Amino acid sequence: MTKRQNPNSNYYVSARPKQQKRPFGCLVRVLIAIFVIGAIYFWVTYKPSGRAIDLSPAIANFTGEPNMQIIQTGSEQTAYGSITQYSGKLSNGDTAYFDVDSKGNLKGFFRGNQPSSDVLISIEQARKIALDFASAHYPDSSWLQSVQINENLTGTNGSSNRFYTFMWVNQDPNSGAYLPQTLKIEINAQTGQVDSYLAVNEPVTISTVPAINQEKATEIAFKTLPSTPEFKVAEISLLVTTVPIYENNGQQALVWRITLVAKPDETGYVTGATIFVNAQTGEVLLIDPFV
Amino acid sequence: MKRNIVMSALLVIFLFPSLGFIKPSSPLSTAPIHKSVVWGFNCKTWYDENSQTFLYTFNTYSTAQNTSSIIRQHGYTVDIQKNPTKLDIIRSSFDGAEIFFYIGHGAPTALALSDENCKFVGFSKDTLSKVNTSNLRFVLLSACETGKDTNDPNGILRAFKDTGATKVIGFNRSMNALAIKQWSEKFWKYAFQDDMEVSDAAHRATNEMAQNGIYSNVLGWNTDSLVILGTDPLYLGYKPSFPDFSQGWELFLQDLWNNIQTQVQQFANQLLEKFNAWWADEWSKIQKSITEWLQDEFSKWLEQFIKELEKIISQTCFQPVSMLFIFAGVLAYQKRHRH
Repeated sequence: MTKRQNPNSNYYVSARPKQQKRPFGCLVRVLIAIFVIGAIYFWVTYKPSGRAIDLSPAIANFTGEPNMQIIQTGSEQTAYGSITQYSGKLSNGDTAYFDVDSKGNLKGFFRGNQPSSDVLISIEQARKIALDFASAHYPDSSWLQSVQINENLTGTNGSSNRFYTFMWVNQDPNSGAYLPQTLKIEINAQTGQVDSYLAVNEPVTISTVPAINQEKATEIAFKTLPSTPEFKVAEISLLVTTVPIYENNGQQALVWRITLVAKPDETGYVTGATIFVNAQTGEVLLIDPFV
Repeated sequence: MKRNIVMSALLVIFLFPSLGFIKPSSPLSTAPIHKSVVWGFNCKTWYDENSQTFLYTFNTYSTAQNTSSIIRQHGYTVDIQKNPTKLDIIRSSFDGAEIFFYIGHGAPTALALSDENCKFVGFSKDTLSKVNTSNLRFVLLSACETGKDTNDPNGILRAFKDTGATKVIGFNRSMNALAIKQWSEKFWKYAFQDDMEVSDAAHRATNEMAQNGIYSNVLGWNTDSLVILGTDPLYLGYKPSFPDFSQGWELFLQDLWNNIQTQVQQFANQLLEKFNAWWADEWSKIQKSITEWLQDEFSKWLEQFIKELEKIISQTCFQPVSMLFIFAGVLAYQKRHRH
């Protein structure tokens, strides 16, 4: 043991003990660093696994498969509140996606990875499938019988996705305003299965009688665009929607939606815009030009 | 000394791969691993060759930036351009690209680009033929009428499909700018999900837009007017596979290096996105609490102040004796100061 002398004393002061090596100090730090990085990595990339006991009742009722394994894939905000998204495998092996609102109602269903390039069923067959499906699953199907079905076969212009689309939209019997009660069902033209189901069923909480009539609303819309080129009305509808337009969790409002279009120029470019006008106050809510 | 060596070695292992991320063309990296190209534009008003106002639209460059961030998180480098009209820029942009996403103005036979002065410049099938598109797998043209007539030999969507891309998506009618911006961001959110084929991602985005009900009464309007060319399924999510050892040591190490770079890049981007989202959420909560607290405190103080004032008024002004005292006090004050 070495000693050193304290200059202010006659006594020897024992030397500072030699620092002992900590044989695992560096290794422990490396391990801690790896553990921390790993924890952060899993926190960033972790996806919860599905368990049958987490199955939403809405999904079980919809699919008729109570033991279906699903996982929650995320959530989204819509105009009428938040929806939770799930995915899972149906008993026939198809991947399915579900949207459920905060009240537990199924708002959307989509069947993924389906071949759809050929048309193997007729529109009459597809319509029957859609009607049966609508009656069985839409929560309030009483008005479905009283509205015209909008029908379309997609892909007639060369697109490789061939679907029969059927859409029902409820309307106010007096003003003709389109209400937030809609149903859209897509039937795969190749497989004949329901590949997409989209239901909106919101109660109307405002007056559906406009204070601004169609002519006045059109006049307001024309004033928002320049006088040249010459615009014409391509489409005009009165609808109950939410404001601000396109934004989530909005307030219901009665809105005129007017689309004005000019003739395409020599290169084929089309100028136009859709103007949203508050049907009670005449305020221009949004001008959404063609991109 | 040993500790320093170990820490330095760890630093090199974790940071070195990210050098490839920072400088894709550096000799330290074998990037580009997977390349995508995103074009938007930032002109609100466009002008024709006579400097007359041509049309009004919305700036789509912000959407291009948002989607670039999503694409980058999934193992792709992103070459993002605004107003790319020079041929050399277009060529280098497309070189090696697997994904091309355009959001802007369009027509059946061309995309409408704009130069730095917001003057209109067309991008047609002819321009496309001058660039290298051999690596293209997927093309999304979020623009008006790009898929209006897929049988037109000059059609721009058909031109992109003829480059050999597995799948291309366009629209068959005029699209509203805000609607297509929202739809595009939703599409890219879905496009990289596990087992999500791009056609399904487009459908999901369309359905999600329909939840807002703006166009729910019109069949085939706006985002319901998708045109998809290509029947083979296409998945954009890229997961690097374990390197193939049978091809030899050199290839094995090269693949391993690529994988490390990709994983680190993806991880860093995801971490940043998650942190940004968390902080934005926390900050808005803090702002809300402060605002609410201030409003509450101010309301309470104002209420109290009014009560006290009423009390004082009721106790003084309406009592004749008090009034007399106040009056006398005022007179005395004036008299004193006059002298």
